[in-house]
Amino acid sequence: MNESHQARVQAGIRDAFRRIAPEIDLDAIDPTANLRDEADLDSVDALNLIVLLDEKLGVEIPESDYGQIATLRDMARYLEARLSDEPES
Amino acid sequence: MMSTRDRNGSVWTEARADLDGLPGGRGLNIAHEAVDRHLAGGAAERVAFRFLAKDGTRREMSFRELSEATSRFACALEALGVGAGETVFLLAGRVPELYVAALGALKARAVVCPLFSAFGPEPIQSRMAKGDARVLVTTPALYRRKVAGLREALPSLEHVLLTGSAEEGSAVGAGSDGVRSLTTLLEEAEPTYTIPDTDPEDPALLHFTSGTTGAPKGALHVHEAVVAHHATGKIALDLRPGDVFWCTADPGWVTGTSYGILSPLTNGVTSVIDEREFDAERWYRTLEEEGVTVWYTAPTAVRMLMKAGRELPRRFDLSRLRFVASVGEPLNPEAVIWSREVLGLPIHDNWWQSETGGIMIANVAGQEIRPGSMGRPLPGVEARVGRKTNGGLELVDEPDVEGELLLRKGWPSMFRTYLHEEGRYRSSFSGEWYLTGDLVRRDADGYFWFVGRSDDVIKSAGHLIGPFEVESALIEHPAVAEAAVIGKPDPVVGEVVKAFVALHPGHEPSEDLQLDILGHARKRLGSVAAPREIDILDDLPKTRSGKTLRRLLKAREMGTPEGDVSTLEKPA
Repeated sequence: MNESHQARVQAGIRDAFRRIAPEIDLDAIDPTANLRDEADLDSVDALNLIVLLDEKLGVEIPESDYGQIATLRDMARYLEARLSDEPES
Repeated sequence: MMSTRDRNGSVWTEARADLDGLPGGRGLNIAHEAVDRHLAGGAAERVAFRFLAKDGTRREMSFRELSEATSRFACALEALGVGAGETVFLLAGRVPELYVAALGALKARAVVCPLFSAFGPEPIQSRMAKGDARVLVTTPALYRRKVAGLREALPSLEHVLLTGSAEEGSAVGAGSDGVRSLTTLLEEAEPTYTIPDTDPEDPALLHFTSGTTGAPKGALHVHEAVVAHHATGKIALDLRPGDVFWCTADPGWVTGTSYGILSPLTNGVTSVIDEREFDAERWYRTLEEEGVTVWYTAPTAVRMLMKAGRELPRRFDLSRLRFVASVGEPLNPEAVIWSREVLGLPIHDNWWQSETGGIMIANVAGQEIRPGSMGRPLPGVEARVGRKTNGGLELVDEPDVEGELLLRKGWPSMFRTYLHEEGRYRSSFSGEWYLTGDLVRRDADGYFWFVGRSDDVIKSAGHLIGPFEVESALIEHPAVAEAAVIGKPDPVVGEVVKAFVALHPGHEPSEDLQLDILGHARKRLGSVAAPREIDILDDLPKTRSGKTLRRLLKAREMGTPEGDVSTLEKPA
């Protein structure tokens, strides 16, 4: 596991959440539970979140992969696996 | 010659004859028409609901099973001493218990009020308080997160019935304060129930809807509404025996009740209920795998499907689809073209609102569709364009003139009052006409075109959001002195909620504060009603009498002329 990837992904997820659902305490969320339920995200929130993750981390998540990022843990794993080694400028 | 009124009346009389009524001429009950009457007709084993659960499992429920489950619920309510006319609130996702509770409560002649499960505690509390909630059916998780903290503010709420296992219920307090396991109650109740005599004018359904000012209004409907649920399902949604129908709306909104629960059942067709939220790929797969023949969705959802691209739908066989309809906001011409190309079918847009209880104006099967138009009034519905004058109301006969959409009183699913607000109810009529609050124009061929709202209510993803409710939550934030909320045009959802706030002295604008206010609003209101954007201004534009000018803020936001600003307190 690439630790700097892990750290960048964590920071990216935190920043995206802070902008879309600042009331959510990510540390209090069960990482294996359905994220949209836990954080009360509606469809528009979910789409905005994906746009922000792309902006922040440079990982474009195609629609067909949404099922793979349903929980906080899955989302982090998905992003870590696809993060390029070049930091985003 | 028959007058228009008589003709409208006879349309509904015929539609009523298509229903059974309670045996022995004991009246008309929605749940009997939706469920029990099919038991005798040989349809008992037909699938009423096909529930697609979050975990991917699929559960079918026949009309017979639905009849037994809803009878159990009615018996359980009776055992709790809940009687006719008392309100049962529903707060849950699209789980089987929600459907059973809605229909079971109707059997017991209680009034059903479904709430959207993404509401935050504030909208839940204001609606339950105004609706005199005596019973709430909800999930353990929603109870813990959104309702447990409101119990003191809701003294009329006597019974909370929790879905899920008894253990899950115990974990959130079942066993005290009237909190019980619904599962246990249903198991202990009898599976047979005789629906008591039901007057067609007995109250049945309560739908909250937002206005520009004040708290949300509770539009109250009666059992006779089922005449319209049934007939409009046939006419506007083309429901036929053997259909598999999928209404994507949540029962927390009126569409998800009238057409997500009732109309397909009265028409004896199978409904697909998908518990999960929007996901383009899964939606296409659901259409294919469930063999959906009639699909009722929303323009926002169509635009989200369009965003997912044209490649994705090619992987699915959508050939079973026969009829597609949408509601909530005008369908843009691009969406109409997309649908013909991707689904191979046109989308039939239609129009109605909480107060009308059922579809009133529609592009119907077999008639020319005008892309962007809501269609023409259904048989039995008289719609006109009107303009308020000093003396009252002036009907506009000329085509293509903007005015308020009016409906002539008297269709069966017309709301009968705004609960506890008779004055507000009366002021939504002028003589024989119901004033819808929607601005429209009618073309020379009788097609109606939506222009906008005549008030400041925001229409986001097809749902009405009242600016006052959002503003009230915003000013509860310690830094916020004043707030004004508008609908900002958005290519996908129509309008998004945008807030402008002015701060109390001693607070400085910053990104952190902005996000803190956003988080506060989301916690109170939930994601459905909370603003997506918040701008901090030095002060908000007001009239000399102190009324905040939402329209001016909206004009600035859109870069359009601000209009007459002569009454501004402080010229901008």
